[in-house]
Amino acid sequence: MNDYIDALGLVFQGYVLLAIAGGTLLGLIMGALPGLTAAMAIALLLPLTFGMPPVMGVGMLLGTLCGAIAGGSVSATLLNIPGTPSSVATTLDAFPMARSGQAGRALGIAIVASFLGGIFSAVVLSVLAPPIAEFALRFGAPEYFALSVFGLVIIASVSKNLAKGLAAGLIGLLLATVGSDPMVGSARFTYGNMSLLTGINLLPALIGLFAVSQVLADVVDYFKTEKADTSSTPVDKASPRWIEVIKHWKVVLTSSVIGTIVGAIPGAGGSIASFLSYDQAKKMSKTPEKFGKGHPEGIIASESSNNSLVGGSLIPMLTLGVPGEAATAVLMGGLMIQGIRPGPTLFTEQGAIIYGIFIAFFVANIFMMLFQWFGIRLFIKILQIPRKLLMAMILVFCVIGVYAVDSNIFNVYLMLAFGVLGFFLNKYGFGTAPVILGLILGPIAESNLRRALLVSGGDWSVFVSRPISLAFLLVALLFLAFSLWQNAKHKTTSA
Amino acid sequence: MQRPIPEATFHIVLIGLVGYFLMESYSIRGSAAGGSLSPAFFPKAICVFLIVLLLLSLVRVIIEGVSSKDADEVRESSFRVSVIAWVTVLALLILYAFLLEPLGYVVTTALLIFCMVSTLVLLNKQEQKASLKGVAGLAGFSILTSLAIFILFSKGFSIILPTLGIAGV
Amino acid sequence: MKKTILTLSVAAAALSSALAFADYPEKNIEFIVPWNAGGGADNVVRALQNPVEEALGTNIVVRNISGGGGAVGFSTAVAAKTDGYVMTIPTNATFTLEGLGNVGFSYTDFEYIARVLVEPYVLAVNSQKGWGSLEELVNDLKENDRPLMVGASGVGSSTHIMAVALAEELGVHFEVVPYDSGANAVTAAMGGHIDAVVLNPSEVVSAIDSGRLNAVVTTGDERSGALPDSPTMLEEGYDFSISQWRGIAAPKGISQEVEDRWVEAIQAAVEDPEFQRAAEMMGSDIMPLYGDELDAFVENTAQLMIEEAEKLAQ
Repeated sequence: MNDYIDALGLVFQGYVLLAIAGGTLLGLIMGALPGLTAAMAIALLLPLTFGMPPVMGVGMLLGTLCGAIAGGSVSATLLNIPGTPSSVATTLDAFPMARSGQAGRALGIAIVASFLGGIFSAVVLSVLAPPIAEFALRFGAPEYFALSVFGLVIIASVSKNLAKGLAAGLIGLLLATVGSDPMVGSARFTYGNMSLLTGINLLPALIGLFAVSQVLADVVDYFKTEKADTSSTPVDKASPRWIEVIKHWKVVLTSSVIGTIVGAIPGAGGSIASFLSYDQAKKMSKTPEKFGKGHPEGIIASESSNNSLVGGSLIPMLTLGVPGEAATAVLMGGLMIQGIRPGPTLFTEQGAIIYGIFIAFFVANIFMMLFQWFGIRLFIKILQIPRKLLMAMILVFCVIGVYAVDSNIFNVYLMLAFGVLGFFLNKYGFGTAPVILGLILGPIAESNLRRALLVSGGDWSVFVSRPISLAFLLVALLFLAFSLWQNAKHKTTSA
Repeated sequence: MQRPIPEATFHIVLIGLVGYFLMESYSIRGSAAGGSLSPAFFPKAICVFLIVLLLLSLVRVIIEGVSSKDADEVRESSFRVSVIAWVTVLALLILYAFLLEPLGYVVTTALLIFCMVSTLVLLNKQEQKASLKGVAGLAGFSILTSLAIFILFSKGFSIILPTLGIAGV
Repeated sequence: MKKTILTLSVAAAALSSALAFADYPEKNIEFIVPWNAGGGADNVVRALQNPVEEALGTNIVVRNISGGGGAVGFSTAVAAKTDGYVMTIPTNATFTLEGLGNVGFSYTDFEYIARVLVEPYVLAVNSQKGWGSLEELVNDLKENDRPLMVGASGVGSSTHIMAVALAEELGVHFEVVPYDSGANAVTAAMGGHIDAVVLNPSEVVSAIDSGRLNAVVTTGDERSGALPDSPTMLEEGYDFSISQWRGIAAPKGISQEVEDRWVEAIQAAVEDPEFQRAAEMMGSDIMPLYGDELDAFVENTAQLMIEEAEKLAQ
């Protein structure tokens, strides 16, 4: 308890709060721009944290992390640019809602949902971190494989036409095999191109499939509208929608739980958490047929889960010293520079600091919400830019973002190729979300299947003899059946 | 009968591409280590499934296409303009990627914005035609936008962008 | 008269060239990190950034060019201008990439300026499996004729190569299970899904602190500062010593003056208390090396790593 009081003293100082606020703001800006990831934002600020007291430095970096994830939803909502893989699920409903003239409502919902998700995960982080980390350790290769199968089943629920949706998912899986083989290192489909050795970079694929394909579709539409619409999308009142979100508290809660737990499993491809929550919300919803057309529940599910992911991903990093993905890896570098070594000893030996970090994380979430609250009117102005200029600017931002990933022009070509692919996939009803799911889950599924078999010496029974793995596979089967039934029911009622 | 033909073509193109991947996957080296699967296993399995699914979908497209009587009501002229605009924008983007490194960020980006917006304006009959003021305005907008983005990314985010090497841009 | 002009101009030329070098650096220096932000090498560069900037009096812009396990970034660095404004961070990967045959450059295409940090490879086993020491482990494996499931941080990575080399040296069978990152391999070992990992101390110190893993042996010349209780291979009676290292390099052909400026800057940076603390936390030992000694070290390590990597590539 004393530690908590000391910790409060460490956080509630003018400079510390200012640092957290500054980090959050930079995170929001960078997160909103396509291609600039949370990891890059944190790495950029890392040298600044030298010489700061630990809680101040780490607090600033935590703010950056929260901001960057939340910022991603702004561009996802307004422009169909998912800045990070975890905001893909947000685009599914937020963008259609924004397109129908309710951009303010979509953003308002997203802000509240991500705030609630973030706070939920902060609570879990400060109370339940050690047991959750313990649970995460029970994930071996068979469990990761089963989890990825579970994730792939979502394809059935996000696609309108099952055969086409599955085909799109398989395209993603196939493209995920490009690059150096994860187990023995043979080059697959790389044609001697060094940039392809580590596989297709996810960001160019993401931005190509969503943003570029959207602009290409807009170019076609630009001439189709009866009276050429040279102005912009109509915009409604932009403010946070507290009541609307709280009405769906069940969705917020389940999504936050899913986000926190999936986030805590290192290397599970945290980005699938928002898809899992989306899928979950759709299954529980009374109106599943509205999903994908601008349904608030879809936005709430995706946003609360992708922000609770942040708190979740801090769990293995702080308690075990294993960063689950790039952003937490940079953050861990930041901790080490501060002289803090993550791991169980952190809790026993540096209590005030660890609690200071928890409190700073709460504070960062509050700043994130406040900045968005005030910024929302500004964000929405983007849509008032004349459409022809906006299209050009979106493309320019996509290119610079993708180029910035690796300073590699190859990624720009890759993005354009995915843009064309995405355009046709959308045009003919295949959809692009399944491709992304395939791309994210493919490597996890393949490498863990083969890893599990390597460790078991070729014995396939490991997948059913281990309880967690078996549970995931059974639930996946159940969900698949449920999705098929839901689809079929919807088809008969609408036909 | 308008829509099924391009849609079927897209299916056939995809099947062709996947077939090519399948062929290529036979030349992936490496064997299964310690009772596990070989590197070529996944790509091959995925390709086979994918081809089957695409064929199924193709058959359905053809059946639906034959049975549906109402032709797509795409107005010929606007359709052609759309295609021209689409191809031009894509070509501009490829050219942009190609020139980005040799010409530097600011110059190419300004050119891209200018060219793309003028393409959209010129192809659109309902907009008023190019005036000198409009062109100058657009040129100014292009240059300012690309400069602003350049400064934001290179100074603000420490990201190294290609430059022409003249006057720092 | 003519002579004076000549002397004057020679003097002026000499002066201006001296000034030109004294001016280095007169603009930002680009530092290529061939991996993503958040990797071990990236952390080192970020930790070095402040003290080196101070010593050189210019900004260092870190440029992460990932891809191909370092191949893309190193290739970019090799092809850069030799004016001293592009630097990179050489590690064992610089050599193993060459050995694996995936790249067009050779380790001799770099001008090595300094070695900054050294960290050994460590074989850490899951504590629950009951191997208290290297000897117990080796005897147990030999008696039961079973393979040890060893996680490494990626296929073809230097930890993978080192795991194979270690098994050969110890005369036992390691089944190397590649993971996509060191963190994931450590998690699997902590959970008991695999028996052990071969990684660098920075990746396992937390796990060892918590008692979940037990570092049975390290591969350095001396005991690692981060794992003072773990014996080295040399102490255990094997003639085997090789470490991961991180330093500073430029494309071959930079001027002596640039090199000297950098050596000075690194000498100052390693004295910086902030950097020392960061290095300690990362589990690395500051063991700077410059000039001829560095060249000998590079030559030696490169031969060894390339040879081991070539074995794996076959």
